[in-house]
Amino acid sequence: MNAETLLPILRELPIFASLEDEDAIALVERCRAARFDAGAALFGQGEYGESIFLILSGSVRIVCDAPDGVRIEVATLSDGDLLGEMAIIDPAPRAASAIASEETTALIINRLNFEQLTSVGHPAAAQILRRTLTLLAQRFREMDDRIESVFAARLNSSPHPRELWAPLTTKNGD
Amino acid sequence: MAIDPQALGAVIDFSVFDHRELAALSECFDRYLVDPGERVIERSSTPDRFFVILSGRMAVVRTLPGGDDVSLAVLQSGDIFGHLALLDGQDRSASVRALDTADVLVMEKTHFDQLIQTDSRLATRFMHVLSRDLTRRLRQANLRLTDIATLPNSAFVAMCHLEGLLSGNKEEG
Repeated sequence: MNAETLLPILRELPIFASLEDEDAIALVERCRAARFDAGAALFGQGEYGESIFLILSGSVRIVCDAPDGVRIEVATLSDGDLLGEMAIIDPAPRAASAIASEETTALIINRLNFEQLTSVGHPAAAQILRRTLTLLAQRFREMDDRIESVFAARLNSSPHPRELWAPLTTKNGD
Repeated sequence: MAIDPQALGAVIDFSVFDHRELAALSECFDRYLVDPGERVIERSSTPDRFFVILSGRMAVVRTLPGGDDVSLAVLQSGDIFGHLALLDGQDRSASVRALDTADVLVMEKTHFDQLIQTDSRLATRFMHVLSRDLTRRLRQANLRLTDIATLPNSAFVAMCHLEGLLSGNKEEG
């Protein structure tokens, strides 16, 4: 897909709808579109993340393979959804695989281009970061709830750490 | 206390900012010392500021129905906290309490909003720093979740003690 075909597609995406013409053109120059057949991987778990993907059409399953071989379905994403951004923002291996569940086209921004867009304050980078932050904030709150409940479960199973600690502190005389 | 832009660039991964941006950020921060046990954020309160730790340790805590304070995370020098609620506009998810004397920077929400609205380049770079911080912390939280669930009793007890859990609500807030 060339830049001329890509530009109008970009303009229709809600995330980039507010871009000025020159910003949209600058963005088109820094990304590409790719087509994935059903069953093809956009990226695989454990790979070093190099790109951010934005789904233009189709749908993508996010799956995570546990060490015991069980495959966990994490999510299904579709048009307009962003994926793979975490590993670009904080470099690390992919935590899950992304697999096209039907024929899918996606916009791809690689790490270098994303960093360039970020450092000049390009509104597309700002939009991607804003959406990522909202998602992260939501996941953080969910994580707070999970840690609290795991803690509560452990403290409710006897003996309570306070009782276990008490004899130790007495022995030490404080 | 005045804040030296260079010191700000050193404590946190603010290396993405240039001198002018660091100077602008420094002007928006206040600096103060937090006493051990002091709470700087209360759960469910309306967010009005965020913090950066220069030195010392802070615990992100929730109080269980039984009265125990549990640490969701332990934060240290260079960590940012309190920005979550500024980003999504919801109430505070947890309380934050100092484990020892902590030297912190604080930015009021009004300054934060002003900064984000007036300088788009700085705002984008700042969001990059915040997302990187949150992504990293989310990974740490995942590891902590595993620790809490699987640590042997002796190690779990020691962890609770080090984080001030066993003193719970008896500690002065």
